[in-house]
Amino acid sequence: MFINKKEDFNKLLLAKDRISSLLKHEDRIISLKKIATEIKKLSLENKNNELLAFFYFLEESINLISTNSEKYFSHTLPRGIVLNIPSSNIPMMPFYTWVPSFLSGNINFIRLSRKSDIKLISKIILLIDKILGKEESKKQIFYRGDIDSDITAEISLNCDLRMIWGNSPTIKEIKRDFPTSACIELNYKNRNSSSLIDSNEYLRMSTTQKRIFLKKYLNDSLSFSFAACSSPQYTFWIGSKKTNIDAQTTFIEDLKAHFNQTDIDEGIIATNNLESFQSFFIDSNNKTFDQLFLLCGRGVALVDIKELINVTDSFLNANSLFVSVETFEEFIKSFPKNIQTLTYSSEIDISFLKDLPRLLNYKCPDRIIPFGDALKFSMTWDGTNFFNILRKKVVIK
Amino acid sequence: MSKSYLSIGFAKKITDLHLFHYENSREFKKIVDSMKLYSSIKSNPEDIFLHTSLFKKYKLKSKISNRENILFYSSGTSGIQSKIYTDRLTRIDQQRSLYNLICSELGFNTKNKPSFYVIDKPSVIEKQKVDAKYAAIKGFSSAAKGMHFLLDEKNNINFDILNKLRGEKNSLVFGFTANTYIYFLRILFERKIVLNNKNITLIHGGGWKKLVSQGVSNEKLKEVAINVFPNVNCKNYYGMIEQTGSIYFECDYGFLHSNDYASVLTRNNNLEKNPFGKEGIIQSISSLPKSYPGHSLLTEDKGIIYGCNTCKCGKAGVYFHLKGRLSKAVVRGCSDVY
Repeated sequence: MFINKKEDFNKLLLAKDRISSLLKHEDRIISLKKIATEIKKLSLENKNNELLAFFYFLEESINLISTNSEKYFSHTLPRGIVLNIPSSNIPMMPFYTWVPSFLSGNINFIRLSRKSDIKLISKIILLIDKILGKEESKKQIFYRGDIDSDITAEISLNCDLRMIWGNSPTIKEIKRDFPTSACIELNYKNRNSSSLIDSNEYLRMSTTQKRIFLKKYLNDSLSFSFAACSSPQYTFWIGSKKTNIDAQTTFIEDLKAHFNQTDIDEGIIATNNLESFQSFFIDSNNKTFDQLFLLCGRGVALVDIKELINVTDSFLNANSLFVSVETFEEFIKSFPKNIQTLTYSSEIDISFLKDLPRLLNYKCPDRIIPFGDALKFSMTWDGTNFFNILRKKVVIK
Repeated sequence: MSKSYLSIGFAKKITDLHLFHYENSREFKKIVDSMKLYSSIKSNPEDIFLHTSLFKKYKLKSKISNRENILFYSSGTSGIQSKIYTDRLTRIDQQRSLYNLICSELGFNTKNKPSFYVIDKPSVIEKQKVDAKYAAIKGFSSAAKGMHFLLDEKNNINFDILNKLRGEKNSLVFGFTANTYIYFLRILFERKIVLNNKNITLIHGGGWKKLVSQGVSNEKLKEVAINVFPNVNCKNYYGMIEQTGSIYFECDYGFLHSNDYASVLTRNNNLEKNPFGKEGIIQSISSLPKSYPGHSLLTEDKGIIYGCNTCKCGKAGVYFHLKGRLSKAVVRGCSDVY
């Protein structure tokens, strides 16, 4: 249900004692299947890629749940009331956060940003309401956060779980402005990600293989916007010094050739990148790295591990790093903190990767996945499995 | 192949402006230095440019005197307005240049000033803030006499003023593109009202987004304008508040043109110069901004430059088409929640 006015909201809050979804688990899966079909139709009618991506996410979620129901849902109960605060610039984010929580049987409040595409979102909500039915849709409430801050304040005080998807300053503000008594709060703060590429492997690739590799890199980096926390701001190139330089230079040339040819509609990434790049230099007094290239408006610095000490978070907002390492030992030694995802090229020794949690200890990334898979949504995010959080265990002794 | 589109004289003016802003704007200097572009100031002045949005985030000024400064604001359609710091000298330069451009483009002069009609409501110039609308209306009014508003406060046509326009022998009608079509031309066309004025010029500029979403092209707007004003000289222009005074007028063949005060080039997604004929991101360069470093800006508009000095209309300089705004749909990622 979509709440656009505060008056409507108050009535619903009074019903908060009914704290679980009315639908059975199987019915929730059936409902999601119906929603997926409708979303696919809508995406094709509107030629909207965001909707199509949401459809694939729904399909994946349904498959995962259908095959793992026993694992996630036996001997557990829904958490209760969940307040979802999605980030503003992923158009379908309100639904990405809603799906696992709905599947888990919770009552959901989803706060919509004032920057949301309300027209499209309300259309989807209408479609969801129609499938869920009148009573259940009253328990899945999407509301506009800007109509009254009291609404978020009140739900924060009454919810059982709060999920905040945003950057670190936003999380700080939400926590300050809307204290919660929820027993669990999930905050997805700013994270960086990295990639490990075997330089020899890249140099040996055929033109076609390089093209596929480049496409995967662009996918991981969100078309070179590096706007996702899973985008590899650090790319480690492993090999001899000369091999690394050759591979990096070739890769940069390949990227340049790509940006010279691609569709101009991706130009907004170049201009946004340039704005961040120029803002970074206005704001900081940092010395630039000697080898700094501008690619698609974003800085790419070629550095060795000794220079990593000069890298700040604000630098990574506007620039990416190509780090040269000669051995796995150097890689381990220089591996940065706060890395969420590590992607690896196919010839990286898998036994080394399997040993990484031991070698890196607390610095180990939450996800170690093949190159090109960084954006794949996973039910485990920042080291936490959604279904373990969205459901609760009852202990009887 | 990349090619400089700037004439030697214009390039020299831009080099001088770069040097001036490098000396006088801390922010401009930081960007030039960090991007290691100092050597380009003389060799490739067009390769130094700021992103227009920086005016939304920073107070970008260059050695501005403390007297008679006025802040110009962008329309802020995206939510945040750009702030442009203008001093008296910059404004005088901008007004003078716009006057010269209008006169040379439309054949007006001090002895032959047309009556000025604005397709907007009177309150548009009663604002406390100087925004794009205000600056354009004031700017165009300098080449005309009087000022009459063709819409009332509810955006309905003021028929008393329209009748006054009907009696004019020489008139300049100015409006923002969407208002011009939606509130004025379309209404008159639907009511089959025709004004047979001689010597009537209709100038319109500003965003096309609203009209494009309604399926109205420049050609369609012109067609409707000619139905309403059979003798009209209808011209579109491209300009931005950051470069007030140097606007790009459309020629009789439908191309926008560079002029003595401003030129454009387009860049690919790697921000390298595009050859003629290839669609790219528009960079607009103006020789006028002195109190702020807005002389070379990368916009979020798309366009195609077709050539230089070869337009059939006979005018010198580069000629181009606008192709709308860059699509924002591809930008995603972690963000704030507000």
